[in-house]
Amino acid sequence: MVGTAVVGRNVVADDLEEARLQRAFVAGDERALETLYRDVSPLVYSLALRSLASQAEAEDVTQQTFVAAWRARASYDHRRGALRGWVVGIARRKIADAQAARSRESTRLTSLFAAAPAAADEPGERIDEMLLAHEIDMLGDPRRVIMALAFYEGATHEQISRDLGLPLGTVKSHIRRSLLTLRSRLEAADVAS
Amino acid sequence: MSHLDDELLAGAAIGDALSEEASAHLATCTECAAALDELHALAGRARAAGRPGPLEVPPQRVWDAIAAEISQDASATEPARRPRRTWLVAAVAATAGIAIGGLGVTLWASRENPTTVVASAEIVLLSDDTPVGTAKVLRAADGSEQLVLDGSLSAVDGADLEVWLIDPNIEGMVSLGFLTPDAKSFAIPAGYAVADFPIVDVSVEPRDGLPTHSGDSVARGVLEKDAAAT
Repeated sequence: MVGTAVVGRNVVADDLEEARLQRAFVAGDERALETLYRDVSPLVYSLALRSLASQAEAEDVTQQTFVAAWRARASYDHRRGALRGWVVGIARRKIADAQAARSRESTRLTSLFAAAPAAADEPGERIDEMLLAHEIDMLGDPRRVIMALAFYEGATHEQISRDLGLPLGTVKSHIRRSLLTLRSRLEAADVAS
Repeated sequence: MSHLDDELLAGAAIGDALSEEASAHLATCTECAAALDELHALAGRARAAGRPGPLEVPPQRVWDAIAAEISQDASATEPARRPRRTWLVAAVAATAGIAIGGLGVTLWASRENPTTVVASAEIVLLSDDTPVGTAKVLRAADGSEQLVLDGSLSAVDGADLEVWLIDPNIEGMVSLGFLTPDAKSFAIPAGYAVADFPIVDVSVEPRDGLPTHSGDSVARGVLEKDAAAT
């Protein structure tokens, strides 16, 4: 993490939408929570499901995450990043809590049955990976398509330019801006955790 | 030269050539070098992450459970529907202030001029969610509406507390006036339906002559249609 301030993001329609949601959420508008839930719960639930491999626990974590976010809404500070990232940060803590509870449980079992159960897999990295892929998905077109071609398919900028019929400079500019957007979105999730 | 701008760094992270001047700066500036490393690592992670699988949507019961838990919160702290007036005292933001007490608004007293409570809200401090009172919207027989605040708030010296109604998008707002010991009851201008402007906001307004919202809100509540209202 670099200590430089990340400001100067472009003010685009998405940001305005986000600003409205933030303010309504902080003001205690339950509809804002519902909007946020519809937007982020698939990510939170999938992260939990992937990390905990238990539907019941993933449902619990999802519920706890949004209830905790709602109760802490007054402490949300928009200057530290998007609401979505903040919620993901809370989800991360809840997932870690669930894993810690599980490992306490397994320690207890170990003392009873000498054989240690398999350690839980490294959750942090997998969450980061999923979050990053999701944020790329959330970039909106054409950036999402461009990023998918550039990063998942390994296409060169020239190929993308040809395939999409966009000037090379435009393709590059989209990729640069996308990287910066991803950086600030991911920072929000980091700061919150 | 000054630090490299973000777009330039992002370009360098995806292989764009840098000018000589920019390269020279990068060689000596640890801050810019670290920012470039970070963007470079991010691009690498995006490549490694690969195309994401589809996300799974949690079953409806998860939202239902959240909604149930939240509404319990609300009813546990909401004094709004009690038949008697509730007095809640709180200091705002630990600033020495003039306590605004005596909110003795004659809500129920004027029986000869019947009004109906059509909506109410619990007002809480934004700093820590402490309940500080309630707001009610009273509709008179002629259709006119008033917002009545009941409770207690303190104002900082040299500033006033102003009451606003705000829409859920925080785009439109209307000032109802200053909250003082003598003014707890505010006429809601025609055309500002409570359903459209449900957020009651109390702001601290410096005496600077500017009529717009200072941005310094201290307490808020969201009006909800009163169950008893027909």
